[in-house]
Amino acid sequence: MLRLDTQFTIKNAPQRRLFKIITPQELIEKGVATCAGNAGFEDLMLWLDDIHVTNQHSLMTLPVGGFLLAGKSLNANHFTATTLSTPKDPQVVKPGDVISVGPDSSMVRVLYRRGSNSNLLFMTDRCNSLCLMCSQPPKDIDDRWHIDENLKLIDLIDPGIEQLGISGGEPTLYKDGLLAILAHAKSVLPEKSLHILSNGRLLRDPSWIEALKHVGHKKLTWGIPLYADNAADHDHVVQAPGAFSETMAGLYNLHRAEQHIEIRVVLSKLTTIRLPELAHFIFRNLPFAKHIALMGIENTGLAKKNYKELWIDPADYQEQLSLAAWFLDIRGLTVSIYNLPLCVLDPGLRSFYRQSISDWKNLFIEACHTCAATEFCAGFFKSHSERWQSRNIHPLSREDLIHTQGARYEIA
Amino acid sequence: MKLLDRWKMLIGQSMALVPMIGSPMVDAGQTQLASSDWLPASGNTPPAFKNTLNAKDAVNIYAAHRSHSSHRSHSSHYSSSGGYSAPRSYSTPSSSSYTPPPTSQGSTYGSGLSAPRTAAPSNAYGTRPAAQDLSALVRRVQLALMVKKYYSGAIDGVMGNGTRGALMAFQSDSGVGINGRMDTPTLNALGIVIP
Repeated sequence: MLRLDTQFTIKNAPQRRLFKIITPQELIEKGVATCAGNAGFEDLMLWLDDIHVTNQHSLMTLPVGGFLLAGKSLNANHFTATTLSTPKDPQVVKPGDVISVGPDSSMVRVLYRRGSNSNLLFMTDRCNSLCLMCSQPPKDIDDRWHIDENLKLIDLIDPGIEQLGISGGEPTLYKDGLLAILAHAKSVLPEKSLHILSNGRLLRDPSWIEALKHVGHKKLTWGIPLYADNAADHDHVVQAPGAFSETMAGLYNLHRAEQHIEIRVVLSKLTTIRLPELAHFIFRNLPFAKHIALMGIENTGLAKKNYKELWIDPADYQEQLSLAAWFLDIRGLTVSIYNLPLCVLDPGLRSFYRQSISDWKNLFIEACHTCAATEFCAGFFKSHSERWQSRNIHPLSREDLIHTQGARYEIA
Repeated sequence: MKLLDRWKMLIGQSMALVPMIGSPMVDAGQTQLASSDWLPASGNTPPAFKNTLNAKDAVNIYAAHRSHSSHRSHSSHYSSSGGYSAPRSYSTPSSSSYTPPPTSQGSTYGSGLSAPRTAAPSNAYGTRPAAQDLSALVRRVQLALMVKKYYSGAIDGVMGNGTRGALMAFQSDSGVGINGRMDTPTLNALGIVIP
């Protein structure tokens, strides 16, 4: 688990800006082509190490936007360029990353981490739902500046095939901004697949159909949560009356716009009771869904507050999970199970299991030290605490793995 | 009623259906039922699910049982579906060569943002590089020469005497033509990818 921000000593940062970190070697080799989109020297921040100390003076005549002094023997005197030195955690920012630096704080945020499995375009803190288990409670602020930041970020990202997430908040709240971002990503990062997390409610507006067809991004998937087979239960979970029908209308509009759709179900006490019925509902009404993700709950944000209403030991819903997963699987829908420790899962479900928790927020606990499966296991969210821990957590042995289902273990 | 009688009844009822076979209605497909005048525009119709489970092109999940190894490619990192394909041949309702009109969305973000990288016009096409691109390239050459300890001056993007001298010294040591120019063999030897 590696944080996405850390403090630096910052000089010359008159306004908030994004920088692409680049080593002299990479600058020689690729120049600004290290960024996928349009970028100039002023967007680059040169990474200087102790080996560059003899040339530091000359190197700092380069008209790049800034310098990151990773070496301890370098001195941070430059008249105009933004200069970062003495990181609190030197592991956080590395060459290839895109960072955001501003005058208001010594905190430097990593917006893009080279080689990470969980890079994200963050759209907004606002949301039109207030889900009981929201891991990132919404804020009612005008944060349209995220749109321009993301458009710039897309330019500075590495070209290549890894996936990018788009999330919030509710990304569809800024419709024009989101569409501009999708179009820009399509032209600058055509090889990257995008995955948007949205509650789909605003997509009930049919004008999205035209707009999304017009953008025509072929590698775009919408992850839309559906928590029940009936309006009352779903609306309760998302704390918004009418949300169920709006989301259903949104899902049909997405299909009309020929979009790839993933249905996401967060597993809690409220959603697991009727999980087999929900599976049935999805098969009947949303058979065009490309993927159904059944996901363990992230014990942070509002989930903590609503612990009593939400908590169910995963050991107690394995039967419903099994019914739902196999029901969908034998009918040809692709099912995945996310965010549960491997040892809690019914061994018969391991073919659906994915190692899913983003690298910057997953961890393993003490019981995992002797476990043979940590390499394949999603582990826990960094927010993990004891009252969210299943009674079934136990280390798995190599024999357990050999005798289990699932692709990655059968070679052993 | 004896078992045999039941069989007779069953066969009798099936025979009664024979005249219907071959009539257009037996398939009950949309094409037979719908005439173009009342069918709403394809873009806004609810999805029509033509594929029943026993349709000809439906995947027989029993015949094509997915072995466990078929999940091998499914290791997902970022929680999402990247690259999944449902083992089903569901085809979307035919969108009859419909092209959306180029509507102006009134977007504040659309203008000029999606322009692809303006590639520096290369000499191979007979055009000279823009001054800005040229000085960026000179800077990369100066940087490379500095790292290789041929150059210690300012990285100013100007091909002056100091830079040219360093470049020729490098060319002489690395066995490429000594001409003081940033030609392709020299850039390759410096490890500079163009553009």
